[in-house]
Amino acid sequence: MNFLWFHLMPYMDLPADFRQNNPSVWVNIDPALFNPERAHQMYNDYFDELEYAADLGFDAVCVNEHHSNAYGLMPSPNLIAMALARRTKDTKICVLGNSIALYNPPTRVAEEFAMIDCVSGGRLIAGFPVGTPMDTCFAYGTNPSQLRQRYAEAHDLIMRSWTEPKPFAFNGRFTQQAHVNVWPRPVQKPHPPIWIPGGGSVETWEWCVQNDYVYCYLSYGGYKIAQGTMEGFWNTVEKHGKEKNPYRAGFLQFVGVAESRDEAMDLYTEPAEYFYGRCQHIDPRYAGPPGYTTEATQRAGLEGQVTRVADRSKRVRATEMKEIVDLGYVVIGNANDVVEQIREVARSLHVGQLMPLLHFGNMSKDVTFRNTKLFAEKVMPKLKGMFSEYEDHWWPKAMDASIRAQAAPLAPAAE
Amino acid sequence: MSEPVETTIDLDGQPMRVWTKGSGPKIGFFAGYGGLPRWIPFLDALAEHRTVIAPSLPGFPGGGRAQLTLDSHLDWIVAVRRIFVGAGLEGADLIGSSVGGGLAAEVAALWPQGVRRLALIAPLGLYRDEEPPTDIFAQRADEYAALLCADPDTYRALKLAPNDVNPGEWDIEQSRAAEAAARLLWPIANTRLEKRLPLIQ
Repeated sequence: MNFLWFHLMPYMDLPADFRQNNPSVWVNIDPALFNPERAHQMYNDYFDELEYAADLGFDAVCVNEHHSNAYGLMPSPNLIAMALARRTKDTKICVLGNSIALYNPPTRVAEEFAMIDCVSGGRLIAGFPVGTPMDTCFAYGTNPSQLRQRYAEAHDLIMRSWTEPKPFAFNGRFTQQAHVNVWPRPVQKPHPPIWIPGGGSVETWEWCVQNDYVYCYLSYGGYKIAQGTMEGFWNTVEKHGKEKNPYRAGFLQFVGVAESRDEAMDLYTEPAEYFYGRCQHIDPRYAGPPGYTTEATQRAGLEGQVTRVADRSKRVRATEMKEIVDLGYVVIGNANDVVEQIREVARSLHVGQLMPLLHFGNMSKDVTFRNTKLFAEKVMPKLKGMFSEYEDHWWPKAMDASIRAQAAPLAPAAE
Repeated sequence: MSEPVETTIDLDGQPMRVWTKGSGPKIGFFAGYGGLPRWIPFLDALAEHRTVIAPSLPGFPGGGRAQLTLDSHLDWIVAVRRIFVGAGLEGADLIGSSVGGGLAAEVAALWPQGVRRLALIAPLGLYRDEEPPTDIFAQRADEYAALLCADPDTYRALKLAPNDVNPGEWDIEQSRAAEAAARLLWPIANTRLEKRLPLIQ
């Protein structure tokens, strides 16, 4: 089993009355709520946390892309990933991912991912989400009726630009280029592993299985309500006659480890309630633009993660810790409790690429470091051997350490 | 009210519904946001003195999934012109409402001999910086009725699934109509229609 330390990088200073006095954390959130000097502190703490996780032996560090919101402050995850490439050694770097339909032209993604892969010596996992409705259609103005078609074409252009032996012309429906010749190209051949974060659409399962990409279900509702979605994915794998290899699947689970369950409730209640109460306060007017959810997905009775969250009648409802924990949104407890629960997450969902979310909401750096250390020292070792009977075909193949560059240590601060 | 006569015309293999009712000189109708899930009393009033011909626009109820191959504004104009001609409306008067209004204006502007007289009801496609239109795509579900109709109950009745249809499929059809409007007008419903309006004779 692989453990990827994922950071969402939220803005942690939203006021306590945010839900009551603001219609949305996303798209039209009041710019006056953003304090750049506070963000300076937050971003640098977040880098410290990611680097700490890398030092403690997490298999990868993970970042993602969102726009115009206080839920996640990484409109450009590639900027973060590049800094991490220099400050980590063997840890893999998972960008989960670039919303490829938003990059004009899509070759920008091919170029930037290739840069990260070169600088890191082949440690990149390349993620290609379709992107949330808020990010793609409202923050970036992409036509919801064309979004998935643009995404598919962007994907094809990116993959070709990494693999075509010679420069080529691209005659797409949405992008046309006379000379595609991406320099640099990635270290990894034929290309970095491709992972697809999806929230729940039938097309994404088919896409992942047919292309042999990792399907990552980034759920805020925890593993109990994820069963149906993961079952849908594994049924699709079986339908295509492919191996039910758990390394085909990734899952995000909120985790809070402490010395005891009581201490965990103490430490993690406010951060969890901040996340579910404020970071997830999405106005439904931005969550379901027409055409975003395909007809096939509508017929299957599924809805995207975000649409479900924002639909007040069906959403991941709980905003108070007791219910958050009872429903399994957040796994808490002492190390042994957490080991058992994470084992159950991995087993019941058959997931080999696990993303414990160890910073969430407005969690301080201190608590994040403690959570991370406990997980790394007391939980991870007990679970690392799960699924060892399967081969992971979806992991970066880095250059040998002996020929990989090492960033010089930073000069000590002047006395 | 009696039902209109329903026929279909072919648009690249997609059957497109045409509703016809009344007698007298022909008058075409391009529907607005959401299209025509049902025949409406407004068209019955017109049908008293005119042969009302209401072809479905691509993706609207009756318009299949024809919106999916229309990528540019030009694609839309050409498709709607073909529907206009295929429905037998060449040389007739034409009414267009909201989404249909913008498209009716384009057809009248670019094929001036094709439309005799044109009536536009709140056509979409014009944008004024000083007074931009409400973003029809960023509304909560329960806000549409009051936004689109002076009497919200009329709108709700128009959109309510009849008893004899599959409600899931009805909902998908309504959502497809919204998607078609989005495909044409996203993000700010500015098709630069003002560049063609002066061509209307």
